Amino acid sequence: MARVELEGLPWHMLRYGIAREARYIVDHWANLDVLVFAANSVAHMPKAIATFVGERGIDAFLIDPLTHSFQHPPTFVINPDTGRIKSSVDKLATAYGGVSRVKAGREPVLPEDFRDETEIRTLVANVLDFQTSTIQGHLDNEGVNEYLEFAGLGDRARPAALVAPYFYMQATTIDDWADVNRRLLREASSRSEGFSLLAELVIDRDVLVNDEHIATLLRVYSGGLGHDGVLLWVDDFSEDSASLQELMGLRQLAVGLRDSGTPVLNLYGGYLSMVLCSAAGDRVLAGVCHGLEYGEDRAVVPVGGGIPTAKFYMPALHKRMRYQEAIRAVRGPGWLTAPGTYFENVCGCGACRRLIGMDPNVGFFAYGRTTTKRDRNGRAREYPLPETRENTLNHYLEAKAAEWDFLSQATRDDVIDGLLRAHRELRSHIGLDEVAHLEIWVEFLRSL
Amino acid sequence: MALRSIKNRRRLPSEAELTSMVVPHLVRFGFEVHLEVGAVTRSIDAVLVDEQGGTTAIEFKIRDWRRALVQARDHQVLCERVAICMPRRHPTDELLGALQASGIGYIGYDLDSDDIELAVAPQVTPAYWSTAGDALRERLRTEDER
Repeated sequence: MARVELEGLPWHMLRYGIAREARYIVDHWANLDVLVFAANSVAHMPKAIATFVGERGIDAFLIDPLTHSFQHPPTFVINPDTGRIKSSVDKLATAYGGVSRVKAGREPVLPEDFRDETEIRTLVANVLDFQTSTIQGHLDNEGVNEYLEFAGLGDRARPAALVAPYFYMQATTIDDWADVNRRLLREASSRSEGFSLLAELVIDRDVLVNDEHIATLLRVYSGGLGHDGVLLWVDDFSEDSASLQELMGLRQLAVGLRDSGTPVLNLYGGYLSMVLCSAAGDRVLAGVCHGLEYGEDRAVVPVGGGIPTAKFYMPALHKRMRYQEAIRAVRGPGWLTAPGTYFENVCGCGACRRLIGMDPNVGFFAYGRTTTKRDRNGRAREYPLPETRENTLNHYLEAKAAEWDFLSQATRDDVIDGLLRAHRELRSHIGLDEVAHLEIWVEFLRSL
Repeated sequence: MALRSIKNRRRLPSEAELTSMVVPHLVRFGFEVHLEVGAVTRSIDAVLVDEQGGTTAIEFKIRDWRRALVQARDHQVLCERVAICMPRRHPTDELLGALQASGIGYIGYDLDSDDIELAVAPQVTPAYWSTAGDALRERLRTEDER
């Protein structure tokens, strides 16, 4: 049985974070293509995730195997409250076996642990098996698969693609890990018949500004190993804080892979990545993924966790802002003076139309309401109310869908005009730091 | 000599200690004082309410005035006036410039005399948003009732 090509590119992907987000995913699923689960979440609550996939209409998903979890010093996978390895990572180690199980929570996995091909074969076999059988197995147990088969939805429990095991590479470690990653990918390619196979390329941003490193990555990941695409994750790489040089490196890498027939999907990206998926961005990328509360970039460590904060996605700036800054951005130019002004300049999504209604001030405040909780030291901390989170999430997902719609028709000039307009209108109200990325993006897009 | 001057240097209070030393003065001046008031993503160290119902946010800081200014700037959305309070009678020239540019006030606390001085008066700025300010007042009222 041959492998299957990736279908329906570009993919608008969403990363599943926590269980309470599930209903937002269902509500907005029509605007999304693929849901990405972190393997530790699947290991931690397989039944809940299987039920969610089987019963809530999720017809395309991937599982990020998160094999990099085992290469970091154990402190990054230790629960600070208990001093023990996080239970989800522990379960993952059991599923992956081999050196991951032996070293998890004790010491980091190293490149030399893979000198023996047996270790490569063990990890690949178990990682791919985890992706193909965990959700399927739980659906079998619950009898849901029988129903799905009956309803002609038998493929629902199959991942849209398999993801090969991988390890994170910094500029200082790329020479150590690149060959291990190549061998893992080659082995995965021989074991993924009947599926599409994605390599996951997880790198530090320093790699993007080094031609030699990019050449190394192109040698390893430009096809030849039989994979169908690359999921790219640049550690803690926020498009709105990226330098022009880093963006140029990103393009060099993605274009090099694309031109060799290997589509690149950005695992953590924002509006600029979406532009790069469109004709306006020369279709440099073939997909982009983002999370919900945790946004459009993510650090490789710590694995999992994080505290949700109330942030407002400001469509003109294409980034999430602290609510206080968003207030300045919206009130400064007078965009809260009337509903029509708000819809025209800030956002006309369904969530905003429901809230802004008769009084834009009262409506906009619904994006920032919080409640006070005490931390372990007794200090007061503000947390968004459940309804605030609901409002900001719905607004974010609807604004993202609107961006995809816009980009399906937009020319590069349309995109650049929008960025320059926001830069011009907002810089005097919120300062250059908050808008500077727009000029860098314009310069980058003009260079395509 | 140098050793003696280090030994004689007075220990700076913690933020909590500074707060407890300054609050009695503010009460004496007739303000209603609310501590650690939760408001829109950030907690305010103290909110003063005057007889007319006007609100002033106070951010207490021992050293890092730049951080104090960032936090105070956030509070300008919620309170009509905002000031920072530090254990030093007058702001440095650099801080003074930043305060004047942003309309943020400065309350100096003198550790030796246990006295406070309004060295820079806070200004009402266009950043103040009455919608958020009203919600803050409502929160203070609810707390009072509790």
